[in-house]
Amino acid sequence: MSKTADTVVIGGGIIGAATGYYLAKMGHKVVLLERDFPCSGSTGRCIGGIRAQFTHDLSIRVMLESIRIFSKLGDELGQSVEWHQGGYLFLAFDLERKKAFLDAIRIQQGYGLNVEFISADKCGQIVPGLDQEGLVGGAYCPTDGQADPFKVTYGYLAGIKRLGGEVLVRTEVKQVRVRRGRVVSVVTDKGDEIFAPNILNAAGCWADDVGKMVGVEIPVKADRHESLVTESVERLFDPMLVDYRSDGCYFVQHIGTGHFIGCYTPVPLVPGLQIDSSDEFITEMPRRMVRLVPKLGGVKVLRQWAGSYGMSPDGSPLCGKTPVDGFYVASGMSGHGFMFGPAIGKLMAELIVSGEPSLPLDQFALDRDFSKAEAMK
Amino acid sequence: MSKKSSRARNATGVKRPASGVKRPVTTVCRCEEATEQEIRQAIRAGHHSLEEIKRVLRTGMGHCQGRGCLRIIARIVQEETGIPASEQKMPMPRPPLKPLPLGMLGRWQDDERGTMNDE
Repeated sequence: MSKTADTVVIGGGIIGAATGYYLAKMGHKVVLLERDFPCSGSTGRCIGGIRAQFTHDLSIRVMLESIRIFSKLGDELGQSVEWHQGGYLFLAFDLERKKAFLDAIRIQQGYGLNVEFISADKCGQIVPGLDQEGLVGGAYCPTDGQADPFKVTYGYLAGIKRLGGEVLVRTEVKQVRVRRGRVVSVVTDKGDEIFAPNILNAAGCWADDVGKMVGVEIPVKADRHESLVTESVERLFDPMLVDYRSDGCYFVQHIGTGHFIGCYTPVPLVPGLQIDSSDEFITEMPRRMVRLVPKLGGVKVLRQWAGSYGMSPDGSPLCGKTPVDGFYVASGMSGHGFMFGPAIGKLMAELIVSGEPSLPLDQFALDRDFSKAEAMK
Repeated sequence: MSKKSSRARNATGVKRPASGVKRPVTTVCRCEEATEQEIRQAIRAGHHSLEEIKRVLRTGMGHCQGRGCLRIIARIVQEETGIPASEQKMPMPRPPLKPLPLGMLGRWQDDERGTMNDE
């Protein structure tokens, strides 16, 4: 069977869902293909944090747009997405870290972000129960927040269908056909061929596999990141706490459920797509959480799991056109796909429909210089 | 058991009340308070696997981590889709299997080096 579309979106995670939604809203006939089920890759394993505290200027600007979208997304999609503006607090335990945060804050304030460096005492007021031993202070942005990755993604997918698009789950792309340097169609594992002038590769950690179908290399490498979730308890504090020490961690209490949920970035990194659980994490993560907030000691852990960060070479997204006409990529979100998703979706849709996104995405281009890394990964 | 008679029974294997009798709400996932009706609706909306139902209804994400509900949900999926419960993929069991306090888990490495300390 064959059919036609204006844009075929490959990938049913947050990036594909959001881009598909904004494309459909701009009048495109969208067919979204998901190999397994929505959120079955990295989106469904993320902890739902949303922040504009980055050092790359385009990341800050994209995140300011994303936060604007998140704040109205429940109304837009007609269902709650559990958006809560609880802030992010990055803790500094030495003067070197404080200086790095001050440098970042200067850049962030330049784009109008409400962020400041606060004293250790002030950190303690915002996070009751925080152990202030050795704490110098923190970079605090009250407009950062959290939302539910499943509700956001499923909300966008429902929107695509409502706007006349199609979402095909358990449908894998086997081939992307190109003629004279231009995309023609995708062929699925069901044997169907979908003809479209635009194809978006939003395959997350698997974007390079899809890119190879048209001979475009997408420099995304997966790392394993582990997470845990606790039982739900009474509300203790609002912000995501981030401890950047080599044995640090980050965690937040979910507004909807009352669970604490958090992760850390392992040293050294664990490359590859495996999502098994380690014994080290289930003992280390609790130790690190309790060290920061001792009264969490009695809160019970329900589950640990793992997911993959699709890392780009410099830790910033890979978005834009490719050498193959009509073949676009939005991947390599480097652990921030959920928070970037709404804005990247809107900007990619604008790029595909008009060629001119309201924020130029050149600094996220596939052929950029990757030597300047994001400092607040 | 024929397909017809299996349909006539609810998820717990108890015969449904005769028609005309108002059916009470059956809670299948007690931890996250998901009902049989919500689960059937989710399946009919296209969420055909235990993993997908877990993502939309949180079934199996609570205190018991699915020990109480997953097999029951697998039977409901079988009733709705015809996919035998035995062929459905169970969500991956994840440690610690039984809820344990952060404080206790966090001391584990110290305890392995030294002596076990009770609170």
